[in-house]
Amino acid sequence: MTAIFYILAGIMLAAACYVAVSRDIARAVFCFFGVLFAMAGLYIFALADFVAVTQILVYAGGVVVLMIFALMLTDKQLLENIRRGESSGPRLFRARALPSILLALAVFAVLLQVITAVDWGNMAWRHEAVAAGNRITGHENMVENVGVNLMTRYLLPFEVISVFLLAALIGAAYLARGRTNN
Amino acid sequence: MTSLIIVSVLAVAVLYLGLFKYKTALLPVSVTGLLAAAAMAAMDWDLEKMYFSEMMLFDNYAVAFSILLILTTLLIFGLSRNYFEKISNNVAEYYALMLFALAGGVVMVSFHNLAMLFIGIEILSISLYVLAGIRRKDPASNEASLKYFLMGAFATGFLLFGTALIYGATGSFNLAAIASSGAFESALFRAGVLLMMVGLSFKVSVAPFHTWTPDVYEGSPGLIAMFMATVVKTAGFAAFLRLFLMAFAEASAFWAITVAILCILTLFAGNITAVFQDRFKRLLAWSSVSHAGYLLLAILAVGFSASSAVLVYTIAYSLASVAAFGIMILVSRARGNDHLDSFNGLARTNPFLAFTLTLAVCSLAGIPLTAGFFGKFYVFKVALAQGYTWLVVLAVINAMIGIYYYFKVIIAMYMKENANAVAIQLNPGFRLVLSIVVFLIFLFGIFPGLIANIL
Amino acid sequence: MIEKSWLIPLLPFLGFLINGLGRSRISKKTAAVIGSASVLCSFILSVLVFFELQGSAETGVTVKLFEWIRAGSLQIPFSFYVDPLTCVWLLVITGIGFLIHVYSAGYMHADQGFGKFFSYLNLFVFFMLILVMGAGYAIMFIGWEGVGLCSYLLIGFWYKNDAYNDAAKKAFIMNRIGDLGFLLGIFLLIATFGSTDFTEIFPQAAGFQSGDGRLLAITLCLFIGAVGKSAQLPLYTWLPDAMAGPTPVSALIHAATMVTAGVYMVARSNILYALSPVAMTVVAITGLATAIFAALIALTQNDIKKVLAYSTVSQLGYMFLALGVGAFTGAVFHVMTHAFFKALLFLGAGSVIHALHDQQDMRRMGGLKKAMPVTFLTMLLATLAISGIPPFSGFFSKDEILAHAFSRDPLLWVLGFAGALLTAFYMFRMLFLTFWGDFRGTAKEKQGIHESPASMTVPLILLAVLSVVGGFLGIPEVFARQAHLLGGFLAPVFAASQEVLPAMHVPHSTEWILMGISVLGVLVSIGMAWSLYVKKKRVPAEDTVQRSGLVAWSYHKFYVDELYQALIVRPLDALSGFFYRVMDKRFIDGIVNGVGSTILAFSSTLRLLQTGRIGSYLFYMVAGIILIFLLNYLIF
Repeated sequence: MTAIFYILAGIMLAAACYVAVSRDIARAVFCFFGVLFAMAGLYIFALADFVAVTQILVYAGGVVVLMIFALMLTDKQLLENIRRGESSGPRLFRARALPSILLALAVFAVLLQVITAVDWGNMAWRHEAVAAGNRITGHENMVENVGVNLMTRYLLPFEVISVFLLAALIGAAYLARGRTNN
Repeated sequence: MTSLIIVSVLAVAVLYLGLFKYKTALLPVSVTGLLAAAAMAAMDWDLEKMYFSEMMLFDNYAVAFSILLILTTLLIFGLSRNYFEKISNNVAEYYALMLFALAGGVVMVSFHNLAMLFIGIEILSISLYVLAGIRRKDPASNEASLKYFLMGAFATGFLLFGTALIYGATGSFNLAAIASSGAFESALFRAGVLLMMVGLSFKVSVAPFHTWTPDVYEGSPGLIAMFMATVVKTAGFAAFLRLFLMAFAEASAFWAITVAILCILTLFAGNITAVFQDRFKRLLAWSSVSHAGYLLLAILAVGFSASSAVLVYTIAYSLASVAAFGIMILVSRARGNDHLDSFNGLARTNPFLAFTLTLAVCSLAGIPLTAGFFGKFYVFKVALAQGYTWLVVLAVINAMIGIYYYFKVIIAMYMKENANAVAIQLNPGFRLVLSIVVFLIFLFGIFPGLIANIL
Repeated sequence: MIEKSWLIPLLPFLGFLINGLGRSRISKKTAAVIGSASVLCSFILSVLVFFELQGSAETGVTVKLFEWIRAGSLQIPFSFYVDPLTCVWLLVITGIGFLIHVYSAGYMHADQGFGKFFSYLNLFVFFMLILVMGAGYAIMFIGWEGVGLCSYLLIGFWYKNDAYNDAAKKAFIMNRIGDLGFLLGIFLLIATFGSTDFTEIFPQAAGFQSGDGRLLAITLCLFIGAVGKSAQLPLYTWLPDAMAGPTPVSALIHAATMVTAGVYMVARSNILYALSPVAMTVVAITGLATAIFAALIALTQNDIKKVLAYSTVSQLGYMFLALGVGAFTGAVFHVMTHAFFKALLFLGAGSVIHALHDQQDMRRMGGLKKAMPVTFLTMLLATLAISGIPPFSGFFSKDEILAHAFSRDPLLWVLGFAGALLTAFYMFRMLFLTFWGDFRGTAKEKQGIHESPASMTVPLILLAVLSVVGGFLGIPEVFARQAHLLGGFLAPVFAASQEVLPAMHVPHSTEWILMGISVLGVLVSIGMAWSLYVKKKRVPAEDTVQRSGLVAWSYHKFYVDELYQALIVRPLDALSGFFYRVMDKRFIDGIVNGVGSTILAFSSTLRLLQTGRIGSYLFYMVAGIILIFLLNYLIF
C-alpha cells in the first residue's frame, strides 16, 4: 500500500515539475493530465473515492480536454514564438527565475513548518468524532453519504452554487460571443 | 433570505427581459426589484433567523449590510441609464451580472458557515471578472479582466486553503462551532487564520495584496470601478469583520498584530502613492486602497462597536465614491480623459458638479460636517478603545496626507481656468442620484446618530 | 435672548447660502447688503446677549441644540456655550466683521468675484462663530476646520495667480500640522475625561494634581493646534504668505479673528494649562520668541502688508506670552485691542493700496499725508496704539502683559520690552515711508491718488475711535481701583485657574517705573525712526542690492522658508518621488511603460503582452504571505 502511495506521489511531483518548467504547451498539458490522475489516486488513499471519480471526470475528462481544444484552436505561430522566445539559456534554473524559486522554497518551508508543528493525533474534534462513532472505515457507500449531505445539510450552498454557475455561464457567453454583432 | 432570493430571481428576470428585447423595462424592473429586496431585508430586522442548518444567519449585522449593498447598487443603477448602451447592445447582461454580484455580496454579509462565505465571494468575483472586461473591444478593459481573474483565482486558492486548514483544526465550517472549538493554539488553526486573512485582504485590496487595484480600476469601465469601490469593498469588509468577529474573536491576540501591520502598510502604500497620481480614476483607486487601511483599524477592535464603525465608514465611503466616480465618468466622457487637468474650471461651467465633487472628496478626506468625518471618527475611536494609540496616530498622519491629494481636484476645479470648457450635460438620473448623495453626506455628517446606533 | 443665541451663527450662514447659490443672479449691491446685514444682525444679537449675560447671575449658559454623536458612553451633543469669554469674541467677530464687510463693499467693487467673495466672507464668520460658541472641543474643531477652509479659499481668491495658490496651499498644510495636534488633544481629552464638553471637563480637571502627565500631554497637543492656527514659531511662515488674499481678508481673518483662535482655545482651557506649569512655560517662551523674532523680520520688510503680517505674528506672540505667564485677562484684552488697531492698520493699508492701484511696495509710496488725510490720521492713531503710547488702547493691554511678565520673571519683561521697542520702530518706519517725504512712484500713479470712498473711510474712522478708547475697558489697578471692566466681566471664566496660579505681585511704585521706562523707550525708538526716515529721508535699498550681517538675516526672514524647504519639503519630495518611481512606475507600470509611455495606445497594447507583470504581482503577494508567516513565527 505504502509503495503505491509513494509511486503515485512521485509521478505527481515529477509531472508537476515538468509542467512548471516545460516550454512546450502541448507536453505540459499532457503532464498536467498525469498530475490530475495521480492526484485522483491519492484521493482514494484518503478514502474519498467519490472525489477521486469526480476528479477524473471533471478535471481529467473535462478541464484537460478543454485545454487541448484551446491549444488546437490557438494560432500555431504564436505558440512557436513563445517557445522560441523562451528557449535561450539553461532549462531549469535561470538567473531571472531565481527569486521565484527561492520564494517557492520559502512557501514550502512554511508549509513544512505548519505540518511539523501540528499535533495530528491529539485534536479535540477527532477524539470527539471517534468517541461518537462518527468515522469512516472504508466500507461505507461514500456516494450515498455525499448525496445525502448535499441534499440535507449543504442544501443551501448546493443551491447557491447554481447562481454561481449561472453567472459564470452568462459571463462566458458574453465574452465568447462573436464580435461581429456589435 | 427573501432578499437574496429576490435579487437572484431578479437577475434571471432581467436576462429574460434582455432576451425579449424589452430594453426600456430593464431599469424600472431592476429598481423595483431592488427596492423590494431592500424592504424584505428590512423585514428580517431583529429576527436573528438561521437558515438551512445554520448556513446563513440574518442577524441585524447581515440585514444592515445587505440593505446598504442593495441601496448602493440602486444608486449605481440610477447612474447607469444610457451608460451601458454606449458600450454594447447587450445591456441585459450588465444588469444581470451586477445583480449576481450583489447576490454574492448579500451571501458574504450573512454567512454563518465558511462554505457560504466561499461561495458568496466566488459569485461576487466571477461576475466582476466579466464586468471588468465588459468593454470587449478595449484592450485595457480586457487586460483588467484577465489580470483580475488570474490574481483573484490565485488569492481564492489561499482563501480555500485557509478554510481547509480551519476545518482540519476545528472539524467544522460553522462559525459558532469554530469559535467554541478551543483549537486556537493549534498551528493548523493559526495558519488557517493567516491564509484566510490573505485571501480576504486581496478582495478588499489590503497591501501587499492590493497591486491589482489600480490597474483593474483603471481598465474597467467607470461604473464598474464604482461598483468595485463601493459594493464589493463593503461586502468584502463586512465579510472580513464577520468572520473575525464571529469565529476568530477569541484568537484576536494572535492575529491582531498582523492586521495592525497590514493596516500600516496599506495606509502608507495607498496614501503616498496616491499623492503622485494625476489621473483621477487612478487616484481614486489608490484612495480606495488607503480606505481599506482605515477599515482594518476597526477590525482590530473586536466587538460590536467595530461593526457599527465599519457600517458608518462604509456608508460614508460608498456615498462619497458614488459621487466621485460618477462625476469622473461625466468629466472623462465630456473632456476625453480623467486627467486632473480635465477638471479645470469645472466650478465655472458646472457649479453643481463641482460642489458635489468637493463634498465627496471632503467626505473621503474626512473633513467635519461630512459623513466621512464620522466614518474616520468612529473607526479611530474603536481602535483607541483597544489601546492602539500609535496606530491611530499613524492613521491620522495618513489622513493629513490624504487631504493633500484630495484637494488637488478641488484646486483644479476652483482655482484653475480652462478657457474652452463647456458645460457638461446631466441626465435626470445623474442629477437625482447626485442630489441624493449630497443630501445624505450632509445628513449623516450632521446627524451621525442616525446610522451610528443602528447596530 | 441667550437661549436664542444659535441665531447668531445662523444669520451669516443664511447670508452665505443666499450669496453663494444665487451669485450669478444677485447684483453686487444686493450681495453686499445681504452679506453686511446678516453680520450686523448677528452683532446686534451679540450685544443683546452680552447685556443679558452681564445682568444675570449665571457665569455661563449651555444652549443644547441636538444630540450629535453618541458612541457607547461618549456623548457629544451639538450645543453652544455662552459665557463672558465667548461674549467678548462674539462682539469682536461680529462688530469688526461688520465693519470689514462694509469696507469690502467699497474695496472689492470692481472685482468679478464680488458675490463669491461675500459668500466666503459670510461662511467664514459662520465658522468663526461656531468656533467660539461651541460647548465642547468637538464643536470647536468644526469651526476650527471651517475657518481653515475659508482662509484657504480666500487666500487663493485671486486664483489666476499661481503664487497665490501656493500661498493658500502653504497655509492649508501648515494648519493641518496644527490640526493633527488639536485632534490628538481631543482624543486624549476623550480618553481622560470621557467627554469633550467644557462643562464636563473643567470641573473634573480642577481636581487633578498640578503637573499631571495626562494634562501635560493634552495641553501640549492643544498648543500645537494653537501654534498652527495662530502662526507661532515654528509654524508661522504661512501667515505672511497669506497676505496674497484681498486686504479685507487679511484684516478680518489674518489679523482680527481667525489667528486669535489659538489664543481663544488656550484661554478657554485655562484651567488645564494652569495645572500644567511645564505647558505654561512652553507657551510663554514660544510666545516671547515669536514676538521678538517676527519683530526683527518686520524691521526690514518693504511690502506694506508684509510688515503688518509680521507685526501680527509678533503681537500674537505677546498674547501667548500673556497666556503663558497666567495673565489670561491680559491676553483676551490684547486680542481685543489688537483686533481694533490691527484691523484698522490693514484697512488703512488697503486704502493706500487701493489708491495706488495695487502698489504694495513702500519704496514706491511716500508723501500721501496730504492726499489721503482720513487714511493718514486713522493709521497714525492705530500706529500710536500698537506702539503703546498712552492713552491709546495698545498701551493698556501691552502694559498689563508686561507687568505680569515682570512678576513672573524680570527677564521676560526685558525681552518683552525689547520687542515693544522694535514694534514702535518698524511701525513708525512704515508710517513715515508711506505718508511722509515725497511720492516715489510713477507720475501716472501720482495722478490717480485719491482718498477712498465713504464705505471705506467710515469703517476706518469707527475703528480709529475704538483703537483710541478701547483701552479704557481695562484700566490697571495703579490708575484706579476696580476700573478694569473687562477683568471684572471675565473674572468668573478664569476664577478656577487664578486660585491655582500664584497671584501677581508687583508693587505700584515698580509698576509706575516700568511703565515710565517702556513709554520713554518707545518714544526714543520712534525718534530714531523719525531721524532715519523723515530727516535723513532714507529709503530701503532695492531687492537686488546685497545685504549683509543682521540686516540680511532679517530681510531674508532668517531663511526659515529656505530651511523648511531643505529640511522638510525636499526630503519629503524625495521620499514620495522614490515611492512614485519604485512603487508605481517600476512595479506597476512596468518596464514597458518606460519605453512606450509617450504613446498611450501603443503602450496599452504592449502592456497586454507583458504577462510578466501579473507574475511580479503574484510574486509580491506570495512574498507578503511569507513575511506574514515569518513574522508570526518570530512573535509566537
